[in-house]
Amino acid sequence: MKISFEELTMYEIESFHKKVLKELSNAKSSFTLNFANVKKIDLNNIQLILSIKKYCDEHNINLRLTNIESKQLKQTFEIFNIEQNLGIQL
Amino acid sequence: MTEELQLFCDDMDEQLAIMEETLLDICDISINDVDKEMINKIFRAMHTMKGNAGMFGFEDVISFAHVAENLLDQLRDDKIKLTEDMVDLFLLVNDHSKTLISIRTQNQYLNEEQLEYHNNLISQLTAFLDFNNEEEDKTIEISSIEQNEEQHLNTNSYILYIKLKEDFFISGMDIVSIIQYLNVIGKVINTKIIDTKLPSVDKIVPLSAYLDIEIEYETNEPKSEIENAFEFVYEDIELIIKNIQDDSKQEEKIKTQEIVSNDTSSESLIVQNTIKNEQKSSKLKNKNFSLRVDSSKVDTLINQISEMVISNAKIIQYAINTKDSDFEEEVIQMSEMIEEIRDGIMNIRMVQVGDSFSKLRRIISDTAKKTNKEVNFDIVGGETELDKTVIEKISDPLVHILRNAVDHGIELPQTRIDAGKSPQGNITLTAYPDAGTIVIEIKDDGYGIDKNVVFNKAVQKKIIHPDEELSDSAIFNLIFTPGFSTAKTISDISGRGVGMDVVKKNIDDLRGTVEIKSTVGLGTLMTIRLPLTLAIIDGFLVQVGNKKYIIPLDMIQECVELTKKQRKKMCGNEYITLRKQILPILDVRKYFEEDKSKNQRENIVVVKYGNSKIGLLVDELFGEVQTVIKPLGELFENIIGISGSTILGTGEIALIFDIPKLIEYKIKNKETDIDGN
Repeated sequence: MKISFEELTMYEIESFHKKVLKELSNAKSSFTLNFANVKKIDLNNIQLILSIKKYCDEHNINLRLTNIESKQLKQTFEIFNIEQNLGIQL
Repeated sequence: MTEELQLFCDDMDEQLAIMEETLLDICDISINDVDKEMINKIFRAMHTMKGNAGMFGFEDVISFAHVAENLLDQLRDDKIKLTEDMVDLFLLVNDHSKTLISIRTQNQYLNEEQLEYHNNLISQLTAFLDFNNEEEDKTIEISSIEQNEEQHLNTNSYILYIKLKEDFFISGMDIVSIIQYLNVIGKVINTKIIDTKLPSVDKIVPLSAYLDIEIEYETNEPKSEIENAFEFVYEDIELIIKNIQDDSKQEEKIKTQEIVSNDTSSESLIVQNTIKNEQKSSKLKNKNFSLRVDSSKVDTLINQISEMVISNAKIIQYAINTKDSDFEEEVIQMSEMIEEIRDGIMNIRMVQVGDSFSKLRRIISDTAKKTNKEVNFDIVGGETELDKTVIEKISDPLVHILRNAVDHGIELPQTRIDAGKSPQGNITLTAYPDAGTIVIEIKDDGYGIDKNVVFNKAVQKKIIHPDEELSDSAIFNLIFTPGFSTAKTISDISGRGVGMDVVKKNIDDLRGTVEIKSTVGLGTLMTIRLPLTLAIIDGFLVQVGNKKYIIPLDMIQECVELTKKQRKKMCGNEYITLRKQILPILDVRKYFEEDKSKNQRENIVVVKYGNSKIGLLVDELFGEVQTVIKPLGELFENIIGISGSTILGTGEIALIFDIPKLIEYKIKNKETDIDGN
């Protein structure tokens, strides 16, 4: 799923959540979040990604986060130690 | 603007005002007399700016404050000597900080020109640092080794437990910027997200917070500095800061620890009651010092108490009608309590004028520099309290008056010496309460205002007729006429003929008055009188004809009955002799064209404003009432002598007298032009 938002903040979270639910219902063995467009993320959206991971683990779906290119995005993921906390390689 | 951003702006306004005031204090004394506390005050402003900007990720603000802070740090440690150039530079830093904060809090960035200036200031600050570094090159190696060792010894390791409250994300704050700031004042070693309470995505409420965060952290800063980093989210999180070094000492206390978690996997979330209580009490201690409340909340409270006062007046009326003494007694008690609450709430709005007036020192200092004059500025009575709204509205007129005083009043140093004066001019701003009003006096020992020049200019501008005979005060008042200016040259500071009329209008809008006294060669005194407050006053209810009027109680000196004998003695004139003094009388019935009253008795209410006194001829006196001032509609706002209206307990409307205007009318009235002194 390619995330269309440039910023993932409290203003986008509801729409992001709805889109994820829709896409996840069709996912079988793997689910990819493509961050190519995303430049900024806040903790609220990181929480959502963690909850996606929970869902994926429960349904044996392999979660992948790709194209994390923005400097700010990388920094935030580093701050929250996402690789370790999600248990996946970015 | 979010509440947090507003808080940041308010905080910075306060800090930068302290910084500016301190720098101006430094300008007033010898550079050698500057003490450490002064440098500390300036340092604190820059340090707070850096810290608070960090919460919002304003990188340019952080870096700017950081450079200034470095230089100030060196000054604090006596590594650099303060110079006058540095003081001037810090004043510019202060100004630029205000601009920077204003721009960034509006989610904008510096434009090209501003950015160039920003970088130029940083270069200037760095130049002082670099100069010092060259000087200290020889000792740097040894001291850096010592510093490293010292730093290592001072470094503390902490574990920060952050428990997000359910509504955390709705607050709009982000923990990311706080962690980034923690990295500025120390080092985040590891961040662990505890997501045991987090549901999977199909069950989650997106805006609810489920996470706890555990941060391993190292810093040389004290624990309070870490707490400060969370200042803006204190209400939305539970924070526990645990010093790892102190762990052994804490062990005894651990007996009282609770492990707060329903889930065994979140063992790390230890809530230690003692630590938490200590934090709470220290937080409370800080809050006792001052409480920052949005002024609109106080305004709402004032409006509510105003309505309550009106309702209470109706209840009093009802109690009187029922003739039930017990009920009446209870109502009186309740009225007293309401009055106390009213005074308490009104008191919240009262602030010391000194804080606001200190900002004017900068105006004086800048104007003096621009005009090559030397001016000593003193504030007397800075502790005098005035309604914040009044202070805000009087600020612009004061700026204009003071600029005029420096630009046109104070002479150039050589001119002053030639006139036998000291080269340094003096301007004094004095504030004091007087009969329910606040008086602000602006006095200078400059050239003064030449009344002949003013008169001729007014004739030339066809404001007055050349044959007109005017008193001194009337001539000086011509200055407030729109388009009037006596300045021989127009400067960018004052003298465009616009301004003094606006000054007068602003003061009029506040129901205040302004008066000028001046002597050529000696100086000028401007006296502004302002009402204490704009919302509720203690009034005195009177009746004239069929209408009820309120007189502000503070302005009443006495009430006397006008006997038939005295009436006869008046012989149709509008004055009486009261205790061997002539008192001009304003016949309110005649002035407002009221009907005749059925009441045979007439009363005189003697009112005083400033140095003037008149008697108001009214029919009936009813006594004190709490008066909620309601503005008049557009149709009635130009009636001279009425400043507002109020609703009485009976539901009737009473008009409130504008005493200064009535006195002005009476004094100006040529037929009875008698000073009430």
